[in-house]
Amino acid sequence: MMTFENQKKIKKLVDMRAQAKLGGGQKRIDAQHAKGKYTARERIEMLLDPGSFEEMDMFKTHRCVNFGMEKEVYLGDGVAVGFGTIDGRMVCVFAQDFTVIGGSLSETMSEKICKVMDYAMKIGCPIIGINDSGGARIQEGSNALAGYAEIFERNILASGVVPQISLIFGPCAGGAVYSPALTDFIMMTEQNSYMFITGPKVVKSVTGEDVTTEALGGAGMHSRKSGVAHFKSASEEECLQLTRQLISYIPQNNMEDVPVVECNDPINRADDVLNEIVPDNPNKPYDMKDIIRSIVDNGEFLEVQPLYAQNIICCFARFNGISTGIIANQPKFLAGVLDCDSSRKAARFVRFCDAFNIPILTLVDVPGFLPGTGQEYSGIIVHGAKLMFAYGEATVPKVTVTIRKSYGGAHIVMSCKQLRGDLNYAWPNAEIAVMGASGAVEVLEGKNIASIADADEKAKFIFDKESEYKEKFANPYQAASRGYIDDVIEPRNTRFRIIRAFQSLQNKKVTNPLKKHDNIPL
Amino acid sequence: MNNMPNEVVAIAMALSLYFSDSIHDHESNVLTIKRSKSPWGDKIYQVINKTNL
Repeated sequence: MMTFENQKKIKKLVDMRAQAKLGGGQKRIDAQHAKGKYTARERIEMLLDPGSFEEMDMFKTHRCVNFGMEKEVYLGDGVAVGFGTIDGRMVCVFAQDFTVIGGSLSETMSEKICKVMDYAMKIGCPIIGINDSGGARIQEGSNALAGYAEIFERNILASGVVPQISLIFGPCAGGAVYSPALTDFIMMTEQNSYMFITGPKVVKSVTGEDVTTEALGGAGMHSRKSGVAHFKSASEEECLQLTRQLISYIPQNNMEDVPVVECNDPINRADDVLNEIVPDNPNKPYDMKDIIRSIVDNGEFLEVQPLYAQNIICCFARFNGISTGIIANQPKFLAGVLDCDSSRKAARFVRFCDAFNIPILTLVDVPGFLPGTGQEYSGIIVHGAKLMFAYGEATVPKVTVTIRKSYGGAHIVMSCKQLRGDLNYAWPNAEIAVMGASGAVEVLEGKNIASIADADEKAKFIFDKESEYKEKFANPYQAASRGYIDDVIEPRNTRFRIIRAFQSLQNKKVTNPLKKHDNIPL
Repeated sequence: MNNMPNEVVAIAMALSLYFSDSIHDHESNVLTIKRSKSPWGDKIYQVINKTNL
């Protein structure tokens, strides 16, 4: 039996642990719940496997004595940090606790976050940060700023080494936004979640603009307009489940292969619907997601930025149980054209996949780059170059299937053979050319067309020339005759051919020239 | 012991139970971390002193 003194010590430990778990106290916890929000530790419990969370630095407190802060001391100081598992795989977590001084970032909070980030980098596992903070703790002056910078530097150094995911479950404003912005994925909830550099009040005083919090930095805006948020969820519970799902697709670090799960979907499952899915009229849209659903394991995929730049689809799926990143033009939206936003979106996704050894499948149906002053003024040249750069430098297995159109510069950008596409296939209805028939005839036969006075004769001339052009280029065989396409495949067999292609590439080895780093057009 | 009032005995017993059996820092006692062989921790990467390269 323990001595009375030892019993007292254990009781003190238990009491202190209970006190730390209370954060800013029951009253503030109730206020948090009243807003429809969970506490930091409740969120962690929902995110991780039951009983797996081990918290670090529960008893750490701030050292600030300015403006009466010496009287506002809470065990754990506004953030819960530690490690646990998701489906048995290690993850490191930090969750800001809004009940403690509004989750404001102190030097101590930064030290705790940095400690768990360093731990993740030591053991090679993902870092998941749950943000719910009013910003820097003003009473700490430059110490709080230094604390932010310490976190940012770790975000930067961890980028491309371990996956980093940010969940925004409350305010995230000012300098605080840069930690999530430096991570791989940002997830927001429809309520209570907002991110901006300056809030509506400052916006009003500086620019005179009236704007609501939601319109300025809510999940709706960031998932549709800015593209800052990669996922939007209706609730915290849904967001945490989505995080678990995302983690299931990605490896623990940049040295590991992608996770493999058991596959019950036959690898040779042919789908006759695919032979009919592309309309005869090249200007008629169809839903590329129907093709994706048909070829991936069990029709399941997880789309990244589903509401932003919808003319390109970026998603994770599995082929024969192996995680794969898919980039696909979406003819249903803006005819699948490449523009500034879609180029940026896809480029970032390609680079994430390449950094974490995730094979890339590209499904092409692209009429070209979107023309016009709007795009040129926004720097489409640089944004398009980003996507080309991302594909060109990627060394993971790259399989490309041209479904229909693949025109001009956009053809090159979308993982063509010369950008080190490993296996490039095309469906029989693919059209690989510099441009579409009508545009080409205008350029090639412009003078001749202008010289024909009779309208009927002119129309017949244009029709004949377009037919000649289509005969030559509105098929995949001209490209195949040069080896730019490795094979033309029947659409119904696409799933099997993709699986076999990636299987053949499992030991692919390609290295890039030695360099400090590249200079991707930013 | 026989001379102690019942109240004192009861309090002593309660304190004893409180401090011995009921107060513990409870652990979940489940190990969810799967064992995994990862190149991340491969010992070959730890035998080379990169600063001398």
